[in-house]
Amino acid sequence: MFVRNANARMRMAWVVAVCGLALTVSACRSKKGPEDEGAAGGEFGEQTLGGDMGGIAGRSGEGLEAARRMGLRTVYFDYNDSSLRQDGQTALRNNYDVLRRRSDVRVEIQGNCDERGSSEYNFALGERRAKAARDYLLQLGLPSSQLTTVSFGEENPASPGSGESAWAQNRRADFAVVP
Amino acid sequence: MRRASGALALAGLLLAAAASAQDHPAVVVTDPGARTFKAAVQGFGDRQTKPGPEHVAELRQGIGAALAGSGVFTTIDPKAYLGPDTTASLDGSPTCPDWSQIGADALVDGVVVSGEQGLTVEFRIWDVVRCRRLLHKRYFGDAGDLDRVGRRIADDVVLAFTGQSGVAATEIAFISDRSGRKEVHVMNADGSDVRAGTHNRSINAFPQWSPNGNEIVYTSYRLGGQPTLYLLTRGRNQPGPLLQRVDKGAPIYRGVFDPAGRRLAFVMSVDGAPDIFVSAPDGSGSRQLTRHRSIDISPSWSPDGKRLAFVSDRTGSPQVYVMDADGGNERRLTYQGSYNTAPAWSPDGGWIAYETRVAGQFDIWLTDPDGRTAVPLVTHPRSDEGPSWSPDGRWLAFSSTRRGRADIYRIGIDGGNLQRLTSDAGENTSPTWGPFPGSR
Repeated sequence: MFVRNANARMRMAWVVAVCGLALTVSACRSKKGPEDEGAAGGEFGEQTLGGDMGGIAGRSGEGLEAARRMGLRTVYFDYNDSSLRQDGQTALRNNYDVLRRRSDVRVEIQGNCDERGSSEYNFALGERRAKAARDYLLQLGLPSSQLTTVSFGEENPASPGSGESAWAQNRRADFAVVP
Repeated sequence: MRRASGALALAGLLLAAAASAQDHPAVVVTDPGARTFKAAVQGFGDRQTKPGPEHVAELRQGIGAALAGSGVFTTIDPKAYLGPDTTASLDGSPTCPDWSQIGADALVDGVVVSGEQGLTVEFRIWDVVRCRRLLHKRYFGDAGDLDRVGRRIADDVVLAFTGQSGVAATEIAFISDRSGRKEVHVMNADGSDVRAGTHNRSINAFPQWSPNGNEIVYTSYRLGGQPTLYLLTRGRNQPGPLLQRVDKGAPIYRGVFDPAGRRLAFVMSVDGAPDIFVSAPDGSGSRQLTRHRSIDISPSWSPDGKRLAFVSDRTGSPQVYVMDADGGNERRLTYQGSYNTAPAWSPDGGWIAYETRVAGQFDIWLTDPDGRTAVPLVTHPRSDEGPSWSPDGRWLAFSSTRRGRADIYRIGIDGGNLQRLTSDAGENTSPTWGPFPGSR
């Protein structure tokens, strides 16, 4: 495949276009001869890098599990909103108590969204949710060295379905222990 | 019903635009249904032993299918031909009345010749009504290129008769999770020949073409940490460098080449919320265009590279804005509704397509760059998102959940000619339409 394309690309390189495309067609109506152009494409196709991660779930699965075992809780949000609800503040005070006693532990707060809306906006909204959780913990007095944030937008749903019950599970900030 | 009203509204807008031509930039919208030409495509004379006659027959079929998909041409059944079914020679002219009499506007005749450099497809396009040769051209390739050659010829026919090339030979990049992970994929603009561009098993998002069609910028978590940009290049099996001179600690959510390919607009979050930056592709000369604590994302270049449409939620809800490429003259365009995102500036500069939330789902609307008028284009009761213009400005690609899973569709900008492009598997989102192949 690549060999063929490589040949074709070389061929394309020596083909000299007599006339340009597009609006110069009229200039090519002379009787001198045909307009010439190479037709070869060239495929896109990256191979996997050695250092690639096995997806987001593979990246954080163990960290999420470790956080759960430590008693760290997930914070949930309303639709298109990054403000902390009462239950979210309760969860974060719990997480503060856990992390305060484990100053050796660093956690990544992962902001997530449901599938609705622009996926780019959801990256930004997920970041805002993660930062809202982080800021609350900082206000309670946790050192910033224990906390990092990342947004996965709508790309890493906890529940795969559509509908409000799944969406409510997906609008969240997860805690994952950083190894 | 809703779509019909959208098309009518668009037609009304065009009339309004024509009426106020004095103070409004000319908005030229080609209506694919307005004029349909008829083409006769001869079987191409076969002057070679490989790849064999059946491939030459496929070439004729490919040209016919691509013409039919253009929305501008229909083809005439060869059984109706009064002239020869197959091109005997490219010496001299065809007998034009044989073709005009059966209703043809266009005749394509041609031959396939094999030589030491592979195949040469030589063809001509005739206006048989005036009996004028509009184009005489050769494409070079090999047997594997014949499908592409057929598309190129069909696009040349559309160009010869309308002044604007067809898009049968263009490609659409998109994100699909058909392999289990969200990878960048590429397909022909009619949905055929889907192939994966990335295989990194991470999360990949927002493919964006370089203007010459040789590269695709995409966002990926492939190396862990924060998402950042990578460059996928034809014929290369490793991602190329991008923004080397920008600190990679901050998340970068999306990158878009300017129309000349010399600058990259990108969305980076340095102090709590994403802002829009512009720099050279290597990250040098970086300049921050927005400075808000709000979310500022989704840059889309005007075709002259002088302005950017973008999304900001500085007023509390995401809305579409425009600004100059140096960050000046910010101006809000959308006021209807509380969620307007994903702006896409049309190739002729006259329109910005965007997605808007209506009753909990998403529609695609068009506005002019001054924000004076906005009209619906796609208003299905399920969500339609992420519009991207074809390079001829006659079509929009978008993703829709109207059949449950998200698939990529295209629609003529008069609201007609809706086609579903993906159907194989998985969720298919974030289409971006590539440039004409002649740009390479």
